[in-house]
Amino acid sequence: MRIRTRPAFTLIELLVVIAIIAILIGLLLPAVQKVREAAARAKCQNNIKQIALANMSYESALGTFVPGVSRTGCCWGTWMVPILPYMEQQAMFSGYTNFGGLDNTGLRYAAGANLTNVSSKQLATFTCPSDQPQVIGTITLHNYVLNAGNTNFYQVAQPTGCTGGTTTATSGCVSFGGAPFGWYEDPATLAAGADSSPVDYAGGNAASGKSGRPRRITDISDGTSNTLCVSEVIQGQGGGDYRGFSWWGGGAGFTTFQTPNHRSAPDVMTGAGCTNLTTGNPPMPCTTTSTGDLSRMQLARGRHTGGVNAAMCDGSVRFVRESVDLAAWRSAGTSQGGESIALN
Amino acid sequence: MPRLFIALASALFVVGCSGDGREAVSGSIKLKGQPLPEGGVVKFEPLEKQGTEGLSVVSAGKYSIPRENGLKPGRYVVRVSAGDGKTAVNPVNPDQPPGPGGGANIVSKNLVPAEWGRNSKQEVTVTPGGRNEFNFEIP
Repeated sequence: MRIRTRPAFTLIELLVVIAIIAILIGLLLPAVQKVREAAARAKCQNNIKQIALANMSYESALGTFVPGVSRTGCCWGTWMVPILPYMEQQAMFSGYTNFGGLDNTGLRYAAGANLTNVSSKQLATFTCPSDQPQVIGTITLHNYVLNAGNTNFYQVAQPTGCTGGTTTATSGCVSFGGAPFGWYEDPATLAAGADSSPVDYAGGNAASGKSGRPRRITDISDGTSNTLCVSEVIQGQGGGDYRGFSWWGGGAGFTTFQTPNHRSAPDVMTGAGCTNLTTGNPPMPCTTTSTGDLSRMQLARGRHTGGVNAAMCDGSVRFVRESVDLAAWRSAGTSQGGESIALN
Repeated sequence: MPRLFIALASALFVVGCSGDGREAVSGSIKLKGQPLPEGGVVKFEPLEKQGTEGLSVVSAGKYSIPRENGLKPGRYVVRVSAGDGKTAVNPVNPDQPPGPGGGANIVSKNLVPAEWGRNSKQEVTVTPGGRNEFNFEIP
């Protein structure tokens, strides 16, 4: 009797085919991931452009750039609120009350209707698709921050009170060179021992609300194309990490005191909290202690390989490498520094 | 011929690895015998126009500046600062609104003496290819 042999693959042949397919997948998957990240980066750049343009529309309509924070500082709204109508979010804007409120009892950024209508919403245009969106409680975190200058959120020289420095000094005193957005800049408030809010806010003294002074385009004497406007941060990934908590003043800005994606220089998140991540990709060092020698600030950080997206005040968007020269980065952070160093 | 090839290859390797001449710097800092308070900061400022400035947060008394943000060789002055997060430079209005975490919005007093801070004359020299580990004991 003859054994009939059916034409078929041998086991070896099958294994070889499977191995080849596995190698092909191995080659292809990283490429797919890279394309995905490139797409996310492009979307992120687009978001930044939208914010920069919305700021320009605001300027056309009202004559000034948006205020970085409300006049009462930390807790009665940041630039994220007044820019809403210029990003087609009129309805959400209408749901926010007491922006820059000068009272002890009125609604803050994350209370009552403000929480329900605004600060619990995740806005896609304010979120970088390369990052993982987070909430603290029900308050949403976002990725984009405005330029508060080349030193710190108090918009004074670093260390506080030093004199005789330059805006790009790497030794000794770094002087403040102006910023396109006002932050916690009231010297009287700072001298009185703290930070953001009016000294006399309990008394309802309108004169003491001096934070976030809006700038005119003519205040930017370095030129709008030489001055940074918007950049990005990475949202704190849980554990009470308030980076990117941009409904609140201390999480809504960045400074150019150190280069983007810095691996050892900390974000200074006083009055909130953060997790000091010195390893990981990317590392996100931070401290919760602000001193006169290193005061409150967030640095630009992004999840894109090699740098961060940023928009200049003329609306142009660029990718700034993390190896950027510190002096160039600081001079791009100033609006009135008078430096002749170009950001490339 | 093979020897030439090896020499060329190792030269390329060295060039490829040298980056832009920056060196990683690390070490530990003690204040009055104890590790520097959590969240303190150490700063290296160039004295020879090297163009690189080092800044690192100090955690558990240790700091580390990786090569990407490292220092070009030469002399640097070291400045250390740290606060406790509770003691303000000036008294704070008790009515001040706290931040979102309920913490105080304060600028802390610097616990490090001025000879190690603003008036520091503490110098270190970063060497090319060296270990560049600098440990400081602040009295």
